[in-house]
Amino acid sequence: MNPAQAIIVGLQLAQEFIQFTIKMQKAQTEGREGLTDEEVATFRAATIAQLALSQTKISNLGKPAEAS
Amino acid sequence: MITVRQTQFVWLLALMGLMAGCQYLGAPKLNTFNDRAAAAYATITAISKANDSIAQYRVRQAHGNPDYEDILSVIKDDAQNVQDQLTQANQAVTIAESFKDIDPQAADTRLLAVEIALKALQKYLEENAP
Repeated sequence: MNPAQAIIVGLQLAQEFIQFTIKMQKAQTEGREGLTDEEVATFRAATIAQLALSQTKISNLGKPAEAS
Repeated sequence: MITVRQTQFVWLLALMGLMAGCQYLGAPKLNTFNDRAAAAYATITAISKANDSIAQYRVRQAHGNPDYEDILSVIKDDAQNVQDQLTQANQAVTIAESFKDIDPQAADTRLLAVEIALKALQKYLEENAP
């Protein structure tokens, strides 16, 4: 993996935790003890969408679109 | 041409950068069950994205290899195995959420099991990253 690709992967990982940190900080700013059920639901929805996307990508590994 | 040691070094740099970024932002303290559940979902999403990137990179690297079909099969199996574990972890968090108000202790235990499993998966990907 070249440096540019490694940085992209690192940024992808960081993105999830930045979003999480922002929501946590928002909760603390508003004086709440933690995240609400609705906020957790947004993370759940994002995870379900990513897992579905990932399954498609894995199924298509090695096919022409992935090779480019 | 980048050698294996160089790619491992690049990965190490990327991980160090990520850790430094989290320290800069201030790692949030997980106070409640909901905080931990959201962190688990975010971790599953992040590992899934990393799994995709690593698998796609390995496939690109394998192009031109005389054993390409065999290598591709192994890469797909490995990526699918990680994907299956992530899917199970996702379901386990959702199940834990569903009974957090009925049996908080059981929900907490279930979530803890997911957290341990996710740490093991992260370690596996880190150690086997190209």
